[in-house]
Amino acid sequence: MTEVGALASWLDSALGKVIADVARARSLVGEAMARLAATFGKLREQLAAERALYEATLHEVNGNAGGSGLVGALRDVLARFVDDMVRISAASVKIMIEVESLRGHTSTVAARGQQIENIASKTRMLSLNARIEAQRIGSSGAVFRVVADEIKTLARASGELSKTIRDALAVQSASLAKTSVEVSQLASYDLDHVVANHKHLDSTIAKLAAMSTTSLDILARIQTEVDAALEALQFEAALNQLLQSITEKLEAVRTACRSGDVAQLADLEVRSPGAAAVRFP
Amino acid sequence: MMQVADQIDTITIQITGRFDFRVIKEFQQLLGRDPRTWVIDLGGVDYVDSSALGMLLLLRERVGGDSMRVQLRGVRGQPRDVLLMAKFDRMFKLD
Repeated sequence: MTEVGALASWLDSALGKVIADVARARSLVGEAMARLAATFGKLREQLAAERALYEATLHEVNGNAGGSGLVGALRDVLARFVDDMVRISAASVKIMIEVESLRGHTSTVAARGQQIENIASKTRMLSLNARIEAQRIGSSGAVFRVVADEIKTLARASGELSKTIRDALAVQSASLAKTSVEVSQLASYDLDHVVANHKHLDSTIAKLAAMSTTSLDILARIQTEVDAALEALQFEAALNQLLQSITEKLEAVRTACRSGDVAQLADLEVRSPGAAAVRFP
Repeated sequence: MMQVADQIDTITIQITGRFDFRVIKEFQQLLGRDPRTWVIDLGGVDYVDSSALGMLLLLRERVGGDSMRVQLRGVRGQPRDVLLMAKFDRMFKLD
């Protein structure tokens, strides 16, 4: 074998290896591109799902223009709570006024009871004096004594009745005083924490609105970037075309080497467009 | 504390400190009156609770719900926050 023959044989073998390497490179690039495209595609889907979920959550929280969301519901609850408290307080104030009026009447009745007791006491004294007088005048005062005894009985009954009324009034007065305290407690509700919650809710809504705008903006930008990346991945086709062109050129060189017809290489650029013709996206 | 000034057709109630159930008896005595206009001066009030709102509502009820006949003056700070939260600005004339 001549040296030229040996060189041609080595060149043929080397070209074969290079062509095989290019084919392998094409395969690897294809696989990598497919994997990248799948990953970005999945990322794109996840981003879209994330955005939809986020928007749905925001809608759930903020509601529509009518304010039927969670925020609107919380506002309603607070407003109803305040309305109820105010209504209860107004009713309690009315009750309290009635209770105070009743207490006033009770005091008046108690004062009248005291007057009855005074009368009973005076009547007892009167009956005692009558008895003494009946005793003094002897047998002719017997009838007078009977009347004096009756007056005494009447005074005792009157005194007992007065005591019964006084005790009942004391019980009623104590009951009214207790009611008064309980009603005042029912009416007196500290609204400071409701005001604080109201303000906190407003502040949270403002923060949520700002956060949602920022987050949706970020999600939209990421989506745009992913779309751009997916578009950029389409250079695989151009790369394939380039590698194909290289392979064809190498095959041409190999064929020329085998046939010894180097003239075939002269129109290589004509048969294959080469790298200059390949356009990347 | 509650001070009352009686003018022609107008009763002005000036309250200082806390406006709560402690003024109920003075308030009750005033309810028997029937002036053309009630002026509640809250400039010196630093705290109201729900009973104050209840008393104001009762007063409004006594004037037949006419918001122009009960004026709330000098409302500021905590009383203002509470009254606005309870939407009293829709039921009374707030100065």
